[in-house]
Amino acid sequence: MAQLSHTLDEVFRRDRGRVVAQLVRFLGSIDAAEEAFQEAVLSALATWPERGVPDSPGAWLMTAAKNHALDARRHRRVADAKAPVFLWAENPMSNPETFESVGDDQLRLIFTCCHPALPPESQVALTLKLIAGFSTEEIARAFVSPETTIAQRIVRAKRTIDDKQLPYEVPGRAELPERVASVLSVVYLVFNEGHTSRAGALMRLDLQREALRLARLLCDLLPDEPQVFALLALIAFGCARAATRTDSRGELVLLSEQDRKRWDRSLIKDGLVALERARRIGPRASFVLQAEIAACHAIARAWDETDWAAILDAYDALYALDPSPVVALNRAVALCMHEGPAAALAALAELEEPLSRYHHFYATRADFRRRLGLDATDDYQRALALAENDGERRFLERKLAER
Amino acid sequence: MPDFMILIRENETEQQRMAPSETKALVERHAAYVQRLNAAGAYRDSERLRPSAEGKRVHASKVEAGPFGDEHAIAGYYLVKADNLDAAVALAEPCPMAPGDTLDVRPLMGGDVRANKTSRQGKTFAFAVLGNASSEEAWEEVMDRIEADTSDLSRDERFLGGVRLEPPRRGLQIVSRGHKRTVMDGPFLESKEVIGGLFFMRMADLDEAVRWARGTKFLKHGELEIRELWRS
Repeated sequence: MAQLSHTLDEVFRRDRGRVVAQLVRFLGSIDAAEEAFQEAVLSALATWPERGVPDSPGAWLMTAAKNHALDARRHRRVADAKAPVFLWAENPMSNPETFESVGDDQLRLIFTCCHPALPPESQVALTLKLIAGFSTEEIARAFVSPETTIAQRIVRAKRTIDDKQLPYEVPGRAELPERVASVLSVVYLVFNEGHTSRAGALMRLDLQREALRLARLLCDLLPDEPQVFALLALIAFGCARAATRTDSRGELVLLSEQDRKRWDRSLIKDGLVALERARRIGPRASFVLQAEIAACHAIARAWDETDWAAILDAYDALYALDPSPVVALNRAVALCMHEGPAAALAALAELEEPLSRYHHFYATRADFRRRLGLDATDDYQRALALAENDGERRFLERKLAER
Repeated sequence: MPDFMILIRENETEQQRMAPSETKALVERHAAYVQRLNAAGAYRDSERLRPSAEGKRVHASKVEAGPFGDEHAIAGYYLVKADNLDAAVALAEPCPMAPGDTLDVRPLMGGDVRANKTSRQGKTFAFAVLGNASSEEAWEEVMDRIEADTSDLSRDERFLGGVRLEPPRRGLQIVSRGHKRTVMDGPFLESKEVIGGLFFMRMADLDEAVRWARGTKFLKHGELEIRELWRS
C-alpha cells in the first residue's frame, strides 16, 4: 500500500502540469482547474488501489476532472443563473487532444505564470505550483519561508492574473523574445535556488532536478529558441556537479577542489549537445555565453587545466551584452587565473562602490590580496559580515583562520 | 541516386568512460561532418538517439526497459545519397567514431524520412524494427509484409517517415581499432537481432509510444526498440 501510494504520488506529480494546463483552457480559471484536478485525484485514490492504475493515468485524470467540472458547473447554474461560462472552449468535451493542443496549453500556462506583471518571486512560486506540481508546503520548504507566506503569494498572483486579465496565450512573434527571457529567468531562479539556498540538501537537489526538467520541457515546447537550449546546457552542467559541491559534512566545496571524477558524464554530454545546438541556431546571447563558461569548467580535467582564455573571452562578450558589476567581478576571477592576481586586483578598483553590499566582492578581493601576499583580513571580515548563509560563513571563517 | 543509411552503433559503457573533453570534441566533429556531407551534396538527414537506458523494447508478449545489454546500441544515423555501396562507404569513412563504435553502411530498400524532425514542438521517437529472418528471401518477404501491414501509418499525422533497409549482407561495416579503421562485410542475418528499418513518430511521452507500439502489427514480425530523438 505504501508502495502504491508512492507510485500514485509520482503519477499525480508527473501528470499534474499537463492536466491542469488543459483544464485552465477548458475552465477559464486556474482555481477551478486546480479544484477539478484535486477532485480527480480523490476519485483516483478511491478507485485505483482496487482496479489498478489505468494504462493512461493522465487521460483518466483529465476525463475525471472534466466530469467534476461539468457537474460543478451544472450545480452553479441552478444556484446562479449568471454562472461563469467556459471561456476558451464552446464545448469542452469535444475538443480533440492532439499533441499540439496539450503542448500549447502547457506553454500558455508557463507564459501566464511568468508574466512580467507578476513579481519575480510570485512567478517562481506559480511555476513550481502549476507547472512542476510542487505543493505549497514543498515550495515553502524550498524557499525556507513560512507556508502561509507562499500560500498568500500564490493567491495574490492568481488575483493579479484575474484582475489584470493577463492573457492565457503564447505571445506573438514581436513579444516572444522578451517573454521567453522572462520564462528562462524563472527557470534559472529555480535552479539557482537549488544551487545556493539555505534549504536542506535533498530539497536543493530536488529543485535542481526540477529546473532541469523544466528546461527540457521548454526545449520540447520551443525547439527553435537558442537561449532555451543554452539554459538547458547551463543547468545540465550545474546538475552534473551537484553531488560534489558539498562534502560529507555538508560544507561547501569550491569548484577548484571538487572531485571531477564524480561529475555526472551523461549530464555533461546532455549539456554539450544542447550547447552545440544553441550555438548553431542562434546568436551568442547571454545564456549561451554562460553555458560556454560552464562547459569550459565541465570539460577541464583539473582546475589548472581550465581554458581560462576561452572563459575570459566569454566574459568579455557577456560584459558587452550586460555591463553589470557582477559580470565584471566574475570576469576578474577569470583574469586572475589567466593573467595573475595583480591584473585582477586592478580590475576590481571600480567595482567596490556598486558591490559594497555583496559578500562575493570582498571574498574575491581577499583571495586576490592573499595571492599577492597582501593582508586580506579586512576583506574576509567584511565578506563574513555580509554572507547570506551558514555554509558561506563557515567557509569564510576557515579562510580567515588559514591565513 | 540511391540512399544509404550510416547507422552508428556504440558501446555505451565505453562511451561512459570517455572524458568530457573528448565528448565535446566528438559532438563538434559530428557538426563538422554534417557540413562536409552537405558540401558534397550527399546529406539527406541525420539524428542522434538518447541513451538506450531511457528506451524500451516492445516484444509481442512483454516490454523490456533499456539498456539492452549489447555493445552495439543504436546511437544515431546519417542518411546519405551515393552512387553505390563503395561511394557510400567512402562517405562514411570520415564519420566521427568514438572508441568501441561501429558504423553499419546499409542500402535503403524503400521509404523516406522527413528532415528537421526535432524542429517541431513535442517529442519525437525513433522506432527500430528488429527482426531476424533466416535468408535474404525471407528478409525481403518480411519487409514486404511490414510495408503492406503498415501502409496506413503514413496517414497518421504523428508519423514522420521511415525507411526499410536491405539485408545486412548487402551492406558493409566499418570498425575502428585504435586509429585504424577496417571495412568488413555486414553481419550474417542469423547472427543476432538485426535492424530492419527505422521510423519516426511524434508522441507525448515514452509511455504513449509504448502503448501505441503494443497495438501495432510490427510485433508479428519482430520487436520494436523505442528511443527518443536527441534534440541536437
